[in-house]
Amino acid sequence: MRAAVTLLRKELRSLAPLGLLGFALISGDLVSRPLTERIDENTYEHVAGIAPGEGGFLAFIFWILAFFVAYAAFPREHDERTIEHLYALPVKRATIFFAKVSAGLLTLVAVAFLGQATNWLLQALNPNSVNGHQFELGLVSRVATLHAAVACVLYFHGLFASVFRLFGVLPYAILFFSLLLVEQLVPSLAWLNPAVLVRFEYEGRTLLWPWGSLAFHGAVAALAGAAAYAGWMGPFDRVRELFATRSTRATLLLALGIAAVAGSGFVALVVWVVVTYSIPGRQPEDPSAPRPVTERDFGTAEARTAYYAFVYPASFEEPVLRLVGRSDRLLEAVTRVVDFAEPPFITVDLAEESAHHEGIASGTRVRMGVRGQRDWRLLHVLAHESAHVLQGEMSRRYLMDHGATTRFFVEGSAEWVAFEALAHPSLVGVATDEERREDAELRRFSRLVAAAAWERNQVRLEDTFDDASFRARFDTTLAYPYGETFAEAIARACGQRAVGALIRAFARPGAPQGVRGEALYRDALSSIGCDYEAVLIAHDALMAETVRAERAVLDALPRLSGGVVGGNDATVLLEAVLDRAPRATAGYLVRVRNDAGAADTEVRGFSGELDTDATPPRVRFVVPRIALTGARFEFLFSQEVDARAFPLAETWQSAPVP
Amino acid sequence: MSSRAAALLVKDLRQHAAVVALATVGLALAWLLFLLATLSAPTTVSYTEVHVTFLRVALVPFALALGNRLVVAELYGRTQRFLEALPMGRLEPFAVKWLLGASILLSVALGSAVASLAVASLREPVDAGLTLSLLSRTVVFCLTIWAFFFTMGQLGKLRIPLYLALGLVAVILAETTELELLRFGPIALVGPDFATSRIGVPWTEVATSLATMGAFLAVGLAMALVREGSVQEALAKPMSSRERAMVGIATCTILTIWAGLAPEPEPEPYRMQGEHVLAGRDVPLRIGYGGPENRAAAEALRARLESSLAALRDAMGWRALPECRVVMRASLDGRTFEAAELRAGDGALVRANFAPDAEPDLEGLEAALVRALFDDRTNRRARFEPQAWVRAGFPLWWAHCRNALTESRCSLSVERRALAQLALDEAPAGPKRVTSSRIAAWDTLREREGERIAESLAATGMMTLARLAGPDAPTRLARALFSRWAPDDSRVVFETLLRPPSWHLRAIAGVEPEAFHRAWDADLAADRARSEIAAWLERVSPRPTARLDVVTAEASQRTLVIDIEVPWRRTEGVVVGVLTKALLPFDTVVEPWELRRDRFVLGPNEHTRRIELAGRVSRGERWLVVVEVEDPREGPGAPVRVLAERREIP
Repeated sequence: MRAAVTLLRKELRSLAPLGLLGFALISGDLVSRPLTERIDENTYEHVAGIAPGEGGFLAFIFWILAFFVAYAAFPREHDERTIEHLYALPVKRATIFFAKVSAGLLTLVAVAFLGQATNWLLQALNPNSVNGHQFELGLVSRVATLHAAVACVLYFHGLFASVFRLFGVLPYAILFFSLLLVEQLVPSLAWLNPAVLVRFEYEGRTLLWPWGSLAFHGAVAALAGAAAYAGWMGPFDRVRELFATRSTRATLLLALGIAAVAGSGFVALVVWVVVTYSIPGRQPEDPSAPRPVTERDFGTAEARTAYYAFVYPASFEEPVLRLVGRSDRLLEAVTRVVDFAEPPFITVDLAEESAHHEGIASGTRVRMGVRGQRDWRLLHVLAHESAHVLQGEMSRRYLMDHGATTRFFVEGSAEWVAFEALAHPSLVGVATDEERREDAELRRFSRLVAAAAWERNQVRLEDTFDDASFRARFDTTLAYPYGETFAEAIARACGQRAVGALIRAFARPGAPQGVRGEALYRDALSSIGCDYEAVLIAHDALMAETVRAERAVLDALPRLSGGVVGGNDATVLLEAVLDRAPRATAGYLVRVRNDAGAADTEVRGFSGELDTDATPPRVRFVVPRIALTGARFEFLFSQEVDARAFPLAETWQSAPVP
Repeated sequence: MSSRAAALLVKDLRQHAAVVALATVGLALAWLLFLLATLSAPTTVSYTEVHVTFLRVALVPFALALGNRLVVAELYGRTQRFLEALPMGRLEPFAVKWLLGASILLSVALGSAVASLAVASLREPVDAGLTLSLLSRTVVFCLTIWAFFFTMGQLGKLRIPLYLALGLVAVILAETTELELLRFGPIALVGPDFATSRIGVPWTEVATSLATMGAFLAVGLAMALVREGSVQEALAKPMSSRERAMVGIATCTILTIWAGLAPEPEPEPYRMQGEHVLAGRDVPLRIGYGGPENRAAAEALRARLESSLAALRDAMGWRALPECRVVMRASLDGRTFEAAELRAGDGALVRANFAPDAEPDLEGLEAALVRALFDDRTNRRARFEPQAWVRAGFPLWWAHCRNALTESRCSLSVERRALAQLALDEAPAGPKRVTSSRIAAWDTLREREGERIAESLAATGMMTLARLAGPDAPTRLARALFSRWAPDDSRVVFETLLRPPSWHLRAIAGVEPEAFHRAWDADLAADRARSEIAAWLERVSPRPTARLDVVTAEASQRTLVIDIEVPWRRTEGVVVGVLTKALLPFDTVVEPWELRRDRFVLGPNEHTRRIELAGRVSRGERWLVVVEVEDPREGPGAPVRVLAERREIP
């Protein structure tokens, strides 16, 4: 026992510098905040970063720190053969391992708890009667414990990775990427990421213990620890030796054999998944359901024009060629709207199938779906996505790289450009009157949705400049209709050419780089001789004008309120009550997400069924439980105003998962 | 030479082939994983994205590990000495290792590129432009990162500090210059346009990258050759944990200090422009009035504000005023003002509806502009809670009394004095009073009483101060608190600790804060007894009451039930406003525009009303619920706030 304690003390001494580094990483703000902030205005939530859904960055820091500490345990002792001195001591190998691991864990736990102590210091001077009392011992002890827990879990992973020396970092880097990706694709699997331990959830003021995640990651960490023991102290010495600079043929063959078996199994799995799920037309469906033939084969064909190269499903040749034949004239109209004479060559994939969007653009590439789309809609989507391509070129990607503050302008001005282009005189005879009428109707309903959000949810233009806080409260698809009214307001206040000029202004020489929000638009608009306040006035006027013109329609739109009404092992039942008679054509939708930090692609939508017999009328939504993770979730009720337009949503609400 | 090089190559292959092969299997698996991700990600634009993900996520750490394996391990293990003992120059081992590493990286990267192009060809035209762009970027990127990691490996124990130093330099360059790192050479090669560019070889980025590669190679070569490699030898000792930690701490410290001292690029000062803008004659005032129909109102407002701002400039001891702006916002009512969030130091801007038909509260508007000016001049420190009551009260007092600064009994309007009395009305726990603790908790008072009532109360405090210490005492207090710029750091905190707002109050009023608050309370009590105030209060007496209950609805849904009693003689047209907001688990100050407002209008003789807000609230949430009652026809000009509760939903 005494030997173990002595060893532990020796290890703690050797880890002291790394502990200090950890302190600098976690508590370095003890120096930086007084230099950059007035600490008597700090709140505990702000300095500790413990708002619901936050914590990803801190988990990343703990990841680095835990790996540093773990890599300090064994590799060097082996490289410099000092481990042999330890083996020569009259103690068991397990004791050596235990002492090293305990020292590492103690260091990390100390760093985590010290972090909260310094957080206390950083907010202790705040006298505010409302936000100055967030620091409560119960909350703080839970925060520190969970921080320590995630550090310990990651330490064991680091210990295991260190068996493979620096090559051990490679699979963990890929794993880290994969976990982020999995979370994006299947939000309900977020619990696979150890960072979930510090992504806090609350019930009222109470920070909830993530018992399930603690148990899972604790178990995985124990396995990693056992594997690390086997690698460093046990029977797998030879595998470890493989990654030292000396190796033997036998260990190499063993390693390669294992990798080959594991690799081929994984490849087979991936091929099976890709073939089964990812290739369009192969999704498993109910075999008993009748299915009309929509596509003869999945062969693709290619068509080129002066400005575009299209790849499309051969079975959709007719509508595609109608689009292709008009695409150059459409692009010319788009360039006229934004005043840009040198459009780049654009490649378009028309075989896109997505539940999230009708089209997507990046650089000079566009993907959009052709299946089930009418001709005018294809024209509109192509114009919208082409506008994105031009935005990227004209702003030298500035708009795309600063989506946190430009998203509404990016989507809204692309929508505005598409509407303007299709209404442009140069397209008379290219787009049919019927197509132009359809597009004009879409614009009307789009404005209606924007005006309803303005009036009912009190969405202000200023709210749209901070995408993160906007998406916490409101429907993010408002970026299209509401953003379009922003572009229209710019055009009304400063002329039709102002929208294009503003896009260019973001890339002008000497444009300030670090400016965000209202200040960014104020500055960019000023640079083209347009006043931000004039745009605000024009926007108010546009909204008021739309509300006046659409009063009857707006009054007929019911408001939806409700929440969880039940559930079983497989599903959760939500119900929305309508405050007035439902509209005959309306469809209803609920969208769900884990928390406000969820990306658009992590939001899942489910249609509802209207019960008109009920008084008042109700819409029921069935949400698969697998779409929800954690103790709480958020939901957003919305309704169709017109099948062609974006839905009109209420505001996000929160509920416990039943 | 070739046989010696071949022998060296065989030795390195024997030593590292298995590990590299194993890592390559891992990289192949990683590629497949990235392919799966690219196929299923809803944001995928081109299948060539699998390759760029591979280069960024997998190839860079692989190059780091390979550099470590081929160079660092050899140096640290001292096996380099065996090579040095062989009858060959120092260039040969250098070249063999470099070429071996480059070949491995290129094989892996080009394999990924070709496979990615093959997948992409299913859904996009793979033409010469795309292929050339992709392959040239891949090759140059690989060679550049390999040159970087290889050379860093040559630097032995210096490489970790150098990694950190390069990172620091990158951060500093990005912050202080217009250089955008993402558009620089090798980083730009794998930038956002990697997967979609069809312009062939991006010559600028390629040239920059090759130059970078050349520079790294030259350094590496110098390390290997200078003084027969003795420098390299000297560095070939691993850093101790202590050294590594110290380097890390030094880096953290430099970054921290840099974060504190880095100059931030500033945009041009905002200058209001446009057709319908009226400029001030003697002060930098601009009024945007929206259209010709509001010009007359704007001119009247200009006359009022010009004299106020000029007097304020002198009173506060400012050499010059920043630009002060008022902008017409027709969607506001005449007594609601919005202060725009400008950059600190960029002046003040208040949005208001000053059209005559909106019956604007011009004193209120003037006060709002002065308040915005204080925020600007103090870098928003004026809002700090211990002095927030002065920020609320002085501007209103100024708007009423600036023309009577020499008179000791200048007074607010009756309406404002009546509003102040509403902050003292009987509460369930007894009459509310002006106390030090209540005034110190100004944000709480503001939430409970409402903006207009709170600022009216604060302005009566200025009247008391003028009575106790002379008519210029409020101005002296405002000048002491709000005339100086407060930096965005803790110097101002220490200054506040040494001289808190109560110290200034004591110095100016000549009495202890408690005594001042007692005097203020007594003044209000005396005012309440005046007939004109009593007549105003009569209109909103007895005070309405409201009770909030949370009732369980289905499952986790809860209903907010608010029972309101309005015991006024006349209730027809009386407006009940229910303001709500879902709160975070932590208390924060809620600004008025963050609240959702539901409006209910009472009918004749409708003295009680039950309001049920269903379908909004669920168990485990926290909500702020505020209930206001106002008689728009006969009331004192502001809603009476009868309930303001932060409630945890059980």
